[in-house]
Amino acid sequence: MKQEDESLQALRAEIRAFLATAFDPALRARLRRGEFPKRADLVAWQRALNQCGWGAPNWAREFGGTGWNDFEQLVFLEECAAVCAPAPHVFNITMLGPVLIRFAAPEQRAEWLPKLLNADVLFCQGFSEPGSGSDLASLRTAATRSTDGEGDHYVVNGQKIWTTAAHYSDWIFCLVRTDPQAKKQKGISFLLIDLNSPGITVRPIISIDGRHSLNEVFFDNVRVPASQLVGEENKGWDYARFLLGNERASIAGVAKSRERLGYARELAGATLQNGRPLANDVLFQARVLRLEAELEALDRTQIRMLSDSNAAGRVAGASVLKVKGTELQQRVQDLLVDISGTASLRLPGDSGFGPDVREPLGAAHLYSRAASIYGGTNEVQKNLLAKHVFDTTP
Amino acid sequence: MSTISIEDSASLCDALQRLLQDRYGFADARRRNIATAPDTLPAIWTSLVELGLTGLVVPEAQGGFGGGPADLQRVQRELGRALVVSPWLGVALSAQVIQRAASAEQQDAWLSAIAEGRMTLALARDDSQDLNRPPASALAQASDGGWRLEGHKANVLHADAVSHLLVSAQLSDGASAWFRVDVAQAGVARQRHRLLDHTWCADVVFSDAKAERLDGPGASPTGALRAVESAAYCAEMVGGAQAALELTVQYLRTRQQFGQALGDYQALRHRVAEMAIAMEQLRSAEELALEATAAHEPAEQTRLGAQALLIGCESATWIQRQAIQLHGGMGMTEEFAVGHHYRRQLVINALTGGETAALSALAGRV
Repeated sequence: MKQEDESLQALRAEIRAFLATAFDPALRARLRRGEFPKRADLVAWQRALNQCGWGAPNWAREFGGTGWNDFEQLVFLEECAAVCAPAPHVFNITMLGPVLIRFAAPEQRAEWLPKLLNADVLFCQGFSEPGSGSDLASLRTAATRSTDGEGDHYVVNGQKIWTTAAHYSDWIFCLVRTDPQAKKQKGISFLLIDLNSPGITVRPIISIDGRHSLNEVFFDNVRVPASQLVGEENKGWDYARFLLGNERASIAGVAKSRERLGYARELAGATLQNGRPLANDVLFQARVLRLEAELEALDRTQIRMLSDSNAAGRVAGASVLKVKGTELQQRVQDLLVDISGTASLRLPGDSGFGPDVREPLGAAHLYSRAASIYGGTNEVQKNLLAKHVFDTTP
Repeated sequence: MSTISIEDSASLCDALQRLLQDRYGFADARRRNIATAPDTLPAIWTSLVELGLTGLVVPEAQGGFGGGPADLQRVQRELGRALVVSPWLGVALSAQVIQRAASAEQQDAWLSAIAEGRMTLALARDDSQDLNRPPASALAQASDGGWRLEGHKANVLHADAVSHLLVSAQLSDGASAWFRVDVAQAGVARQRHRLLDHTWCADVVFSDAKAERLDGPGASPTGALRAVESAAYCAEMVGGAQAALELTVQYLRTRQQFGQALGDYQALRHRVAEMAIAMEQLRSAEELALEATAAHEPAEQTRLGAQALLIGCESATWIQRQAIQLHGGMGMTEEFAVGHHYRRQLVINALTGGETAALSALAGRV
């Protein structure tokens, strides 16, 4: 075990004790099998965290957060991942909250932060568009400002894609183009939009795993009050970059990969081959041991990156963690389907997955292929990293 | 072993290719075909029978083409490219088993029925693999001059749509033998599920099920069957990976980001080059697998077949993953074919045992 000072150890013990009592074992079993959490699961969990003051590990205390530093946040996320507990709501807490805290007007913060903390609303993220994936700044969803008898507002037209959870979310934070004349990064604004607004259509995208978590969101003359602009008009790109840089503590997913690897060991122990548990098989062991060593190393890489006092170094570090972290996540997922045979390769029936615990693993494996695509593809990460290495090498 | 000429075999494959282009398009016809109920053969099946595919590896004496493993590979490559979901491979492999293990009378009666499409068969070989339980197999008992089966078989593909199963069951002396089992009897219970590639797959439970033993003079052809099967799957992986590679190149040519086609980025061009290299290793695996079917020494057959599966599964799986990655979000949708090629690859890995089983075989551990 890595060295931790006493206060981190105490925090870890406190979190572990909390999870042992507060995290529903039935939900744990579902998530451990590889199923997605439902909206009700996410709301209940966010509220349980909020009630004990841990609703926002990455926010300052004055806004209802824990005020934890990067290492304390990491300990919290590690302990949650170890028992398959969801992290605090990623769109509300990890992404939107810090943007509002840093850039929004005091009234906007006062209005939204308590709702985000208590999951009174669930947000989703409207960034990608059909023509704007890696080249996000080329986005074209337009917001035109106008004033009529009913006040200052934007009219939004366009389309977002790959919008995770839009079908059960209440609001969406969007990047929209407010100045079509400006250079592409300069004309973008950050809007909060009620998904119940007239003119919004959410259409499902069934993904490779046969499940529905992704959506397209269409905006047809959607009226958005100007008071829902975050910060300044045409500064949205800066806010989005700030937001995307805030995922450092969770991006590598080391603790999640460790948990999956432990699960693979458990399944292999319960799988008999030629009269012996698969867990004793030397080929299986070689794969597990190598992955464990890789994860142990990545864990130290992560600590070093979080300790880096240089801002550019931290940005480059995030790319290292994303690429290596997702590669390892996917290798662990490969192992899980490899040891499960066809039992993990079943499509869910009308009533969901069957009783064999291995059934959802294939779907989870397929979905894990997205890890190296979303949040900036690993190819884009490598471009960023290469630039940093060339820029900083004497 | 093959009596069909290369020209005939090639023209059969041309006809198959045209048929699949016309009648098994990914976006619509294939979708309708896979929506078939589990106990019904897919709509494309009649056309495959009319083309003569069920008789491909049946000897001419029984009304077939007399094709061998190379012909089987040629067909399987096309089926893999078009992502065809059908019991064809099970039928063809069953015909191979019957030729090696059945008596002359059985061969005459059954092989012609297979060639004409009157009898469809699925192989039932794998033991069931429940967690915390030793694998459960099927046992055969002689009774009243015939045979009865008791026990389990897993991974029986299209078990509800075929007329018969070809079951590998254990005799009381521990040896194993092949049995033909009519599925339309109370003693054959099937618990079915759908695999990720839309293949119907069943766990079959035999309870005092009536069975006919394949009572030819030859030994149980386990090694030879495995070799032919590996050859077929390697060929299917070639078809699937080639299709995924083509889709990827076409996507990279058209998709624009930062004002240029993705295919203009050197990093992505290099990835495509690596896919092309893996593609050649995969084609070589297909050749190795064919050599294995002709090997005389069992050890040599095992080595070649396992090396083929190891390199084949590894190369094809890697190509399929890269195809998804280079399609970005599009590769993650059910609407695009690339994801389905990867799903099929996962199923092939599981049915053949993939790289792990191949390594184990090479290490002499099974």
